[in-house]
Amino acid sequence: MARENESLKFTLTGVPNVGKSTLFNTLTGASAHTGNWSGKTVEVSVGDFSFEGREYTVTDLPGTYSLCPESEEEEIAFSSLLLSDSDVLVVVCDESRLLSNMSFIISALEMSERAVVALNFCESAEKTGRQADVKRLSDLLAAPVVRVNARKKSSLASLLRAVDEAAKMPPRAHLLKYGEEIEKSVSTIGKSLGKLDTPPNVLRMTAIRALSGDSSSFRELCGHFSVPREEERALGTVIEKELVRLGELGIDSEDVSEEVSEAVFLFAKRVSENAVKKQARPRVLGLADRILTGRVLAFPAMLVFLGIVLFITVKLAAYPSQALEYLLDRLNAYIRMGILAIGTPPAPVSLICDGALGTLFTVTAVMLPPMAIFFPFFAILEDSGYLPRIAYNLDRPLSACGSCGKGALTACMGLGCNAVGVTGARIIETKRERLVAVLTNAFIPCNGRFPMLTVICASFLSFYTEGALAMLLLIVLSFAVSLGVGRVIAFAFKKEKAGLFTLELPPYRRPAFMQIIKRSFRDKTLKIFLRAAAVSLPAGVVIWLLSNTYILGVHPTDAIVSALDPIGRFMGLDGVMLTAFVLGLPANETVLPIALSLYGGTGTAAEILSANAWGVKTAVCASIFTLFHWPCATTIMTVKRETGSAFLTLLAVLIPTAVGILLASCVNFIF
Amino acid sequence: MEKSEKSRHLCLRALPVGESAFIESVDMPPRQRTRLSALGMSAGAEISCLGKAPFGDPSAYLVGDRVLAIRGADAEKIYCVI
Repeated sequence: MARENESLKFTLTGVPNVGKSTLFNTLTGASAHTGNWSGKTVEVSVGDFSFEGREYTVTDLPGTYSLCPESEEEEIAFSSLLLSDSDVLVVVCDESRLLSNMSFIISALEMSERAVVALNFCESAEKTGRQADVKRLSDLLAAPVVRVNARKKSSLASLLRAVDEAAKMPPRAHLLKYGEEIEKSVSTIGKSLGKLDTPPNVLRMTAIRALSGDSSSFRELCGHFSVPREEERALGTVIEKELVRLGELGIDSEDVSEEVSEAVFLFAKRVSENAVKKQARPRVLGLADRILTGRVLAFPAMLVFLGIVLFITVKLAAYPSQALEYLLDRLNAYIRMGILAIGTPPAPVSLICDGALGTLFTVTAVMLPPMAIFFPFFAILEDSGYLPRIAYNLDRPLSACGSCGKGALTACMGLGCNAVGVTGARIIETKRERLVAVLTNAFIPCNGRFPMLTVICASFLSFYTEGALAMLLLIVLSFAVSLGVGRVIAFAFKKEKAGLFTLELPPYRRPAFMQIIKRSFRDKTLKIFLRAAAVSLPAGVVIWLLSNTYILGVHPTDAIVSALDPIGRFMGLDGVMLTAFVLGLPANETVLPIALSLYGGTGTAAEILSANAWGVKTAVCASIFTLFHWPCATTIMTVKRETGSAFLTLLAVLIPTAVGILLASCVNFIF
Repeated sequence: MEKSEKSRHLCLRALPVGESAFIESVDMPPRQRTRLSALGMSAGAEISCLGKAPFGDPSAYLVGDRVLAIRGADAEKIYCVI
């Protein structure tokens, strides 16, 4: 238990879509940081804040449907609860859908020593007449129950007071009791595990799991406390003995497992019947869903949303991009004047202003506006509840292509940033489909490549007619190729079976606009932009050095360009473009700036490119290669991290490259 | 006690849109059964078919107060009684 002058630590848990993250963000404001958790690489949000003179530390766990984890996110959530050093557990629920939350609430309470139940979305519950009887709920669950509005800071006072109170309470008694023999075994195992510095309720849960045939919690605890091998084996023997003992009584681990499930189910039913009003069940989907997932309008609706996203990201971003370009150009000029004035020789001036800052400013002007629009927009769409409908609509066609409905979502995330899309593949529970999503994400043009496609198309095709059409065709091409390649990959890995697919269609909610915009700007836009900027600066320096220094009497860049020229021309490009792609490995955003600076000359991109023998066919080949080439360095590292396999990472690099070379070469020779 | 209606046994896949049934048993490996249980789909739970996706698969089912999309191939293994 926390002492008065220490920060009070509590953890937020709950099923997905109950507003946990909103609650977390309201509590912590801008002071949240993400933490690396127990060696796994999912980021868990941790934030510090103070309220009424007291310090708090709150941890936000990923939403999890059950404490028998299916995906990596759920494993993180479960491990966090297992090994938690938090003082209080706050189980966040959706008051308007308490029935479906009930099993989880009970399982989570059973694992905790001190807990509070927080009911969110209360206005929704009030409107639909589904309010819970807070007093009865509290009595039955033996935990304080508090109503909160996750979006309003003022409503959180009662939650924090309940957390303070709960921290002072004695540990919880358990809600569920099993058969006599099982309880005996649990007690025996619990006693021997008592050496581990873990709360009794966690030990109880571990014992029950072990008796159900799942010893992963036991092993995880031993690992966490660095229990020596012999001791772990000794403890394991105790568990074995109990399993045998129960087996002889006719109770095998599957029976235990079923008894546990049934106990949770019956208790949940009892609580629901007594504390939650019975509701009329709808017979068909709501109107919004009948439209958005209906046979007629589902696909047009999705195309409209996609169109809006593209339109906003490309067209709308053009104006701020131009403005930024102008402003940063002026800034660069002033900086140049400034450092010249203090007597710096021309070469370093050029290094700084043309090389480093030139690349940085170009990338900023081109990248920042679309990202500032795309990520918040996508996050709003996510918060509204629409995204699962996309996965629902597309599951059948995508399954035929080796992917699945959720693969469409990871592809959409890839539109923002490929690395984000690769990480997002975690939402796919089955290994094979997840692999397909990871390996094909690089086919989707990210925000870093979009501006390049726009510039190329705009330079050689009138932007309003053929240019826009070309962009749309390119997007369709990238999705089509992504699916085709996905099919091949799925075929190659077909010995992995398809698993159980379940997808929740949560109720539509009004997104918390301000909070989402702020949060996604901070967590996605800024983060990814700063990463690109951090790469552009040294990249600019390196390019400048390569172009302006001499090695063996020749500029290194010239050497590379001439070496790559034959391959480039084979693909319908030239040495300069190919060099730019190669040097742009750290960040795709730098490819066009590098190419333009290698070409030299002044003027707009269109002017420079035309002056260097670019035609419509070159533009097409360049666009194709922009879509299909090796992923950027960050994506490569992310793939390595997510798959843990050097072989798969190599595939992730080679497959798009091979496709790009193939397609570009074909276009070059056919037209 | 006399049954006033005949009870019909069917797999979830065959449940028409707009109809409800009660889950009897699930013919899947234990791990998947536990997963479904956690989502509310255990023996005795009421389940209704709310609609189908544009291509006919998956279908949307109401379990408790949660709407879940389940593929036909999996719905085939869930046995219900009306």
